[in-house]
Amino acid sequence: MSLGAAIADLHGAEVGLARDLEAAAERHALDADMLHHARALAGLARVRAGLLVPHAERYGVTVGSTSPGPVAAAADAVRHAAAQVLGHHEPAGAMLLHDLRELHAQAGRVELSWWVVRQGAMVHRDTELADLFTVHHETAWNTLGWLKTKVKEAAPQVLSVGPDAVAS
Amino acid sequence: MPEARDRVVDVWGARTPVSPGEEWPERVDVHLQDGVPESDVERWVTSACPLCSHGCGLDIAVRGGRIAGVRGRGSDRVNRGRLGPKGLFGWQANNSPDRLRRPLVRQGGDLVESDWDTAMDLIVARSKELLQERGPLSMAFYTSGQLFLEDYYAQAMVAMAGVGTPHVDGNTRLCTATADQALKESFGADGDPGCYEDLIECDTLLLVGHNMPETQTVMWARILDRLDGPTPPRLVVIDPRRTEAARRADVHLPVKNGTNLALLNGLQRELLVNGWVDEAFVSARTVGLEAVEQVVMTYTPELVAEICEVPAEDVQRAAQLLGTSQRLVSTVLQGVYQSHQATASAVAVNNIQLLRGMIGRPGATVFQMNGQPTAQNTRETGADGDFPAFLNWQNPDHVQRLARHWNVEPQQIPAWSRHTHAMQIFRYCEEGAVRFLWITGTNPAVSLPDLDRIRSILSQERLFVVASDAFANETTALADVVLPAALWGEKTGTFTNADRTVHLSDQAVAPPGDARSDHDVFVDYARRMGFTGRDGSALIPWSDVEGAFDHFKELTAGRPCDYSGLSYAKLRAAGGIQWPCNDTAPDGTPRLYTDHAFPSDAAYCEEFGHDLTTAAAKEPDAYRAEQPGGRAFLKSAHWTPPHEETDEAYPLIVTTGRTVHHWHTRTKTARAPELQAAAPEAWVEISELDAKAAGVDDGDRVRIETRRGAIEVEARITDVRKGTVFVPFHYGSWDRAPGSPPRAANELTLATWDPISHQPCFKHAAARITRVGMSS
Repeated sequence: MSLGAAIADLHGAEVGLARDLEAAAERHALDADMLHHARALAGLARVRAGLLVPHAERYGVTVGSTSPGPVAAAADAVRHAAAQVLGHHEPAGAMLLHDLRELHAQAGRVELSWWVVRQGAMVHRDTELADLFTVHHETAWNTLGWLKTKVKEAAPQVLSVGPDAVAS
Repeated sequence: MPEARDRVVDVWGARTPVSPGEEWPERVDVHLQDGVPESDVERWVTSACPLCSHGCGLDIAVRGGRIAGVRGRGSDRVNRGRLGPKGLFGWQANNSPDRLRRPLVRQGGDLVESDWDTAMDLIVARSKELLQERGPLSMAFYTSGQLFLEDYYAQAMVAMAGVGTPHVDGNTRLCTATADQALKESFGADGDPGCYEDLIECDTLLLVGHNMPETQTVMWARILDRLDGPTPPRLVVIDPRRTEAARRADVHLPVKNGTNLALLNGLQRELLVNGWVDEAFVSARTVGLEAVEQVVMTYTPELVAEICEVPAEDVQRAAQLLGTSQRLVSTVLQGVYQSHQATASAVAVNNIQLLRGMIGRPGATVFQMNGQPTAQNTRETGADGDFPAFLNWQNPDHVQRLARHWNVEPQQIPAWSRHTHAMQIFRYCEEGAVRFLWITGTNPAVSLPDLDRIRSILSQERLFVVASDAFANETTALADVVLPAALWGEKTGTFTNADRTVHLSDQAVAPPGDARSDHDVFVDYARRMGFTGRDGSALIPWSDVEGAFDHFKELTAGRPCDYSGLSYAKLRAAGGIQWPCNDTAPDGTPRLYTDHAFPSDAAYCEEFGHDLTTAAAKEPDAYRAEQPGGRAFLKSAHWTPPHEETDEAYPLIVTTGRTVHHWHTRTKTARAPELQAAAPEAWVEISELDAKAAGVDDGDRVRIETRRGAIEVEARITDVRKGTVFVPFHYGSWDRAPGSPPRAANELTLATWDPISHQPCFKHAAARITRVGMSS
């Protein structure tokens, strides 16, 4: 595997994370933490992805688009509308917990892929790419941290309240 | 002395100039009921003013079993006898004939008068049913910033140790949750470090999003006495409105709403590049400078000017005043706390003080202000969901200590995550996960954002709502059980102001009808629920409010908010005393951190803090790895645009706030004739240019509309910044004819909040304005 391919892989993971965060933000549009903060984190992921593009090109690899397409926007509008109805029912909590776990998995992939790229940068003596890691790995790592913070808050509610939640 | 009635207009009263090193001169303000001479007052009862966070000491006049007026206490260092207009006139609400006197219960859709046994039986039956069927997380408690310490402490213990729910918060979430959070992020624990005397000792003042002349009138009177004295301090004001403070400023930065953080980052940059940094202090007593430099160095005056729409030269001038000060005091309030990126912005002001080494000595401090009179107690007792006594929920030793003191098993106390914040509690009610909500002393049907949504949540059949209040209001109208509450003056208890001064407020008169204090109601509820400690004894071991105070103060021994040296007798004799008060500081503590030792040690701190960019909570190990050990934190984040930007359809920014004559949703101040007459109706402030563009004249009726709702009010053309309109948030519907057009500011606001303090953003929504009628 070339370093260029590793950078492209990280770029893809970041764009994927941004998409997942944006979709989750709309699916849970009645939860302001999701609607606004997940979107903000998606923005950070897109910024990181954009910064990777010239590095991938330096290694001769062309990466896909960093911005969301029109289909994504349409799908998000549908999710947003559905959330206005589904958000008034108890399964909303379980759906949120499910999505947070999926997001955490993707954010984990992103965070680890930054390490892969960073190790490649070290062996290639590519200080420019290594510096990119130094500045931007932290927000990738903390995105994972925020998802964990949110899971810790959401899980007790889902697992304790409900017709069958109380142990007999 | 001027006639007290003038004080509605003459808000700050007569000047008594003062200079550094001097004591603020006494000026005793009195207002008694019409026709009652001072000689007819039968008793004067020790108390403090409950109508803002300043905490002015006063005595309540009693005549014929009723409150007949108030008199500022000249010996009290907080106000030296002064009272503001709300303090002078607001007490009349206690005597209002429309007080709630009996419990109300819902029968066949209507609220009908009942008695305590019936009301409490209903509450207890519903609680037991839910605990059995759905567990403790189906119950939530939402309280106030206006009850007493004892009310809050009883409630926190009932909710966390009795019911066992983390769904506990106060309306301080809307008010000063960010003050609390910023103090934890920077220093390791809540608690404003300075004292009001620092306003007399400083040579430079920075007010950030703090309309002090209207929100804390006596605090502003002290500053006016400096400004009109022989050695006035230099004043820098950051505010999108040309407030009275802005008018008196050397530099006024009318920042565009939603851009505080860019400006504050820019000011830090100027301090760094001009060498206005106390390097010895920063290197010895703080952690994190490098990371801050990495962020703030981007914010050149030119970039700040572009983002914030203020002149670059003014940013530089402001920074120069801050940078060349010898004694700098900064104060922060809702313009920061109720904006997006609230925590990061409030922390940025702490950074300015830390970079300058301006903390822990006379005239050098930061006030992360409170809004409400007892907000500090909400935060100290656990009624805002944090652990009482600033104990750290992530520290197992602290959980053990709390469990021992409360005589319950540690696992009974919800310490698995941070408590649930108010907006999330309402979200859980919306999705049906929470089925029981007990509201004390607050009016969420007017004060929360996006009111249409809040009303629909509170109206749900499946949600059992208990509301305790002194008056019928928009929230009690939606409740299943309404409990009549005793007000200030009708119960004994303590409360603590924004400079940590604890006052005792004695009972002056009996509450009306069957009204009771919230403390007594929660103790009664615990007994009826059969809540017990681990040895089977009653959970609540005290019998009266003094017992509650003593129980709380034992828990605080050795903690930052140490009450262990206080007692009712001592407070009654000495007046206000500042915590920490203990064996080593028996007379209290004017200033924290005089030795520059901050409460940040991992074993001692109240919280491990957050990453300000992503809002990720710091894990205990990561916190320990930084080895703060008594040093303060420098933290920062980049500015991001607000959540709802203006566009062609909604080209204006609507912001909300307080006005000097009213308090919150006017349940008290509308019942004080002088205050009500001074500001009887809602309005919108608009700049001349925006008014012209909309074809609006001064006094016209206009419609303000956002994507969530609309209101109709009178237009006032003022010198608010172009592009921004301001609506006061006090006005609801309880005193209007049915069918009147809506006028509550929160019909317009957006349900979104700071991701760390979870304080809603009331200061920024996209709006449009149209003229609906001529001026009358």
